[in-house]
Amino acid sequence: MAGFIIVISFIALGMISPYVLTRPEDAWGTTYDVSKRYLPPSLEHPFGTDEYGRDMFNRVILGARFSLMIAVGVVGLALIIGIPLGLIAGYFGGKLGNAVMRVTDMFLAFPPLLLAIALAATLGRGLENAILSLAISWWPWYTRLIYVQVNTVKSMPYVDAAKVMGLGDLTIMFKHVLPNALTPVMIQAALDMGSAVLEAAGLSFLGIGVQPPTPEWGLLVSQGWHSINVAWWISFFPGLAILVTVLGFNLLADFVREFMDPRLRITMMAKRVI
Amino acid sequence: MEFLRLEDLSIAYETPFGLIHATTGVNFDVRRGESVCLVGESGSGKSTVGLAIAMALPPNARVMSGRILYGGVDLLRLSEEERKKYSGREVSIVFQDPAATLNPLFTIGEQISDVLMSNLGLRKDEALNRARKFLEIVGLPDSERVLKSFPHELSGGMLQRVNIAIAISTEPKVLVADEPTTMLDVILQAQILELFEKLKRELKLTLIFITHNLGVASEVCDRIIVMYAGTIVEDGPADEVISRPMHPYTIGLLDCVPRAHIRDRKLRSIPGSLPDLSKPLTHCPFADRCEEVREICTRAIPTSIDVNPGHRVSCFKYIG
Repeated sequence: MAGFIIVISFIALGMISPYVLTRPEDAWGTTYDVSKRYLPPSLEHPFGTDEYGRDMFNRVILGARFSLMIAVGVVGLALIIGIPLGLIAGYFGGKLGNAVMRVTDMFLAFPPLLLAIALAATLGRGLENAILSLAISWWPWYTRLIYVQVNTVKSMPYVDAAKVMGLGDLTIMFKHVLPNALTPVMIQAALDMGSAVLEAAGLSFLGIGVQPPTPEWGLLVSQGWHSINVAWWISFFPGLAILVTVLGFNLLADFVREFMDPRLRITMMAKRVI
Repeated sequence: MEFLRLEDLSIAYETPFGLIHATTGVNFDVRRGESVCLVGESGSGKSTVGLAIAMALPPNARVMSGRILYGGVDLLRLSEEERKKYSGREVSIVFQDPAATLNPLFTIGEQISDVLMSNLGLRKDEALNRARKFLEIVGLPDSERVLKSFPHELSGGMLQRVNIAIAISTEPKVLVADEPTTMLDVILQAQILELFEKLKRELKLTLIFITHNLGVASEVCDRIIVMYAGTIVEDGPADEVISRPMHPYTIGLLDCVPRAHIRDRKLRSIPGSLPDLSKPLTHCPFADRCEEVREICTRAIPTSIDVNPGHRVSCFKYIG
């Protein structure tokens, strides 16, 4: 439940953040005030200020928007590419399955961050390109995971029974195989939401992802890094935001697992009633 | 024309270690409305025969020779489109493990109506009505609750009834039951057997019942076919096979059945194990374990011979 609340508030914050800022110009990073450089957290600046005298609280709040776009964008795109490919390869197998899985293996053979860096460098800077290049280096994991799951589920007696009772391939695929194969992928996806934020931060750090002064969390952490000895708060608060978000998604993963299995769903409901 | 005829059926499984010959030259006819039991130990090929009739052979099965004629149509060589017309519609199957045969993520109602909608082209509400009717036939009067239940909310016996309801809801003419009582306790076993009796009587189903238990076999079936190492060793009327078994293997198998009412009878087992099925048969498969083995048994495969009308045995004891 905690995970659910964290994730919901993260999404809500991501959507409304541009409209609730107290210092929008600080948040968007268009100001520069030397007199306010490196102010520690106080009532006026709860998260302190950065090296340009911008209010970190506003920057972190706005950052939720970009981190949300990255998390949902990268994982969502990777799922959209990865699940159908893995499902088709696993269900039909044979030459088609082999072809799909060998292409997947080719992608898996590259270190993912390296592939993302190469793609981002080719596509050019910016949020969209960072999301796209991370998604392209990400989907093979889902394809492989769902492929293995489909292969297990495919040999379950209820799939045989459905075939014998004359159900079509599409019905069997979407009612019997996919729902029973999906749980591990959904858990992995929920966990990956956090990793996607971290990897996007990695791209930003190398100068090929989101560009400053965009207040993306990963970028904020890396920007504060060189002044960590004099102003710990610059990296700390965006880092804390990432931590809480990743934690929220991990807890959500647990929730997803319980919710997708009717056997566990009952116990979960029971627990909540008590 | 025979209703269901198996001709010289030889099926092998492809494995990483080569072919495993599951059945070799299986021949038998089934009359309409007859109930036939296939009996044998694990690896005797009885399930393979059942799965072949139900068109449910696993992908690694290879038909080496033979045909399964159903109303003159060879069920083994249907196109995917034709197969859908027969599988589930004309021939249905009930599997061994009732819990594993149902998708854990959907309610019983959804699973039955899926089958009926795609098989008979019914609308959802028509399908559910039909599902209620068949749940009542299999002895689940509280059909409303059952339809709304997930598989894990029902007991093993109820699940097997649900599976039987799904299998017969399309009104097939042939029902293959692959060890449907093996996973159930004795009381439930008796109830499910009674249910098969009733279905046979009321729906005039032709029943192919697969079991390793001769006691169960004699309960449900008119006729018993005893299989060993992929071949039919004895085939005859149920009471005759039980009371006057002819083949040494059947005799041995009957001695393995514990019977509580005969106190001083010694429970025996058949020493040895099945022959190596990775090689094609060259002689009587039971020769290595047979107490009455003769010289010819290790050289040739016995052909089947009629010892009584409708009762045949494949054993050299009766040939010469």
